[in-house]
Amino acid sequence: MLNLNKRNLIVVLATVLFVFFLSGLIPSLRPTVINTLKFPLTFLSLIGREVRAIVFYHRNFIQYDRLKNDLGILQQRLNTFEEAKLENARLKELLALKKESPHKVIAAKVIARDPDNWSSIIIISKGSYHGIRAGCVVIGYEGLLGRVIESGSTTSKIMLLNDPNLSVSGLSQRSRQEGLICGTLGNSLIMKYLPKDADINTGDKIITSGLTLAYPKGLVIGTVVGIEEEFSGLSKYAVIKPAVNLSNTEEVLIIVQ
Amino acid sequence: MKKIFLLVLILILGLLQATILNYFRLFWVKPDLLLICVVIAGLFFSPVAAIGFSIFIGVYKDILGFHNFGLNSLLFPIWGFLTIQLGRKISLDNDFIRAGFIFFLAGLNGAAVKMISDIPVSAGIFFKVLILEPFYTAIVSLLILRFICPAFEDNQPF
Repeated sequence: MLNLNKRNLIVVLATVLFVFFLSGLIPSLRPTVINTLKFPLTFLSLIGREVRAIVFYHRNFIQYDRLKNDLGILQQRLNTFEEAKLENARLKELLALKKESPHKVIAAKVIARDPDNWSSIIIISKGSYHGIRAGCVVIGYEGLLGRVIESGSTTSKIMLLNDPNLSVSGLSQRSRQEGLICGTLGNSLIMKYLPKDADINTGDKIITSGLTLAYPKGLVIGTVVGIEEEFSGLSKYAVIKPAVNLSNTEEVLIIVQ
Repeated sequence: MKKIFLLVLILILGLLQATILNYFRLFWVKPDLLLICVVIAGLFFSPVAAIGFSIFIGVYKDILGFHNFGLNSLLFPIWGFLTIQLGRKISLDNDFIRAGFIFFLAGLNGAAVKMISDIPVSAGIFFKVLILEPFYTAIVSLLILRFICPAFEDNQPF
């Protein structure tokens, strides 16, 4: 054990104070250091992606064929919706309604994830220089992904939906039943605070409710895959499969406006 | 020279933990390579150097992660100190004993992080991470200790 004479005690005390001082400095040091590590992180994530593309070549080839067919079908539906959209715009103009402005989004690549197992955070290749600020909503092509929590000049950190520290107010698109969506550090989400007689079924699509200004209304969160009763028996919760694949996200869209 | 080698190892393992290791997760859990570096520093370097490395590793992990304060900067020097003290009391020469110690330390670290930061997870998820992470870290540590530690072993620590 340590020989606790005066000199050693002073050294130990000084070390502890230094460590506490350093731990307080971490949030301010973080963006600068992450910006410095951007190139090696990008390089390593690129290697990982290329190796994965080679290992899963056959699976990707079959998926490519299927997606090509889906694309054709979606293209036809898009044309139909374009017509409906134009008609909608004409009719709104006739009624002199205010035009909705579309969101301005920025695309960015995922270059790293946090090294901890107690949080679900990704680091992306763009930052405040590109207009991204803390609090910006992040989406994938299929739906809501998370929120920007930290923004350096050329990199940003995003907290994903399945992080337990992030909660989103959502509702069922069919029944308009509201609840709070929380993360579980895994592939699923939990929609909590549902009353026992809540109108929610397996297969329901869950979207953002827009009750707070934090998230725009109508962003797809996921689909209900299960409904369970809380341990207390007074309420129930729904298990939700996220619309976006949170484990393999490689590109994200940040809503900056 | 050994210090520079450990420094480079820490930087590389940290980058790997943030990037490529995500493809090797088991049930969303990955091993803590930086904690293995803390144990290596504690086993093969002088107490002052080991604590210094532990602080550096903690700061590095905090910078890559997200906590409102430097949680790992506070915890990793404690684990480094624990490694030094235990290394004096019992023999940690065998790789399996070292892996067992890393298992214990990873569990302790997980429990400490959960309690201090009060992350709102259910009991099931808490135990999943608390059991899987130490187990996975111990398994991976066997590989690292087997192939990398001989570089530190032969000479006296600095």
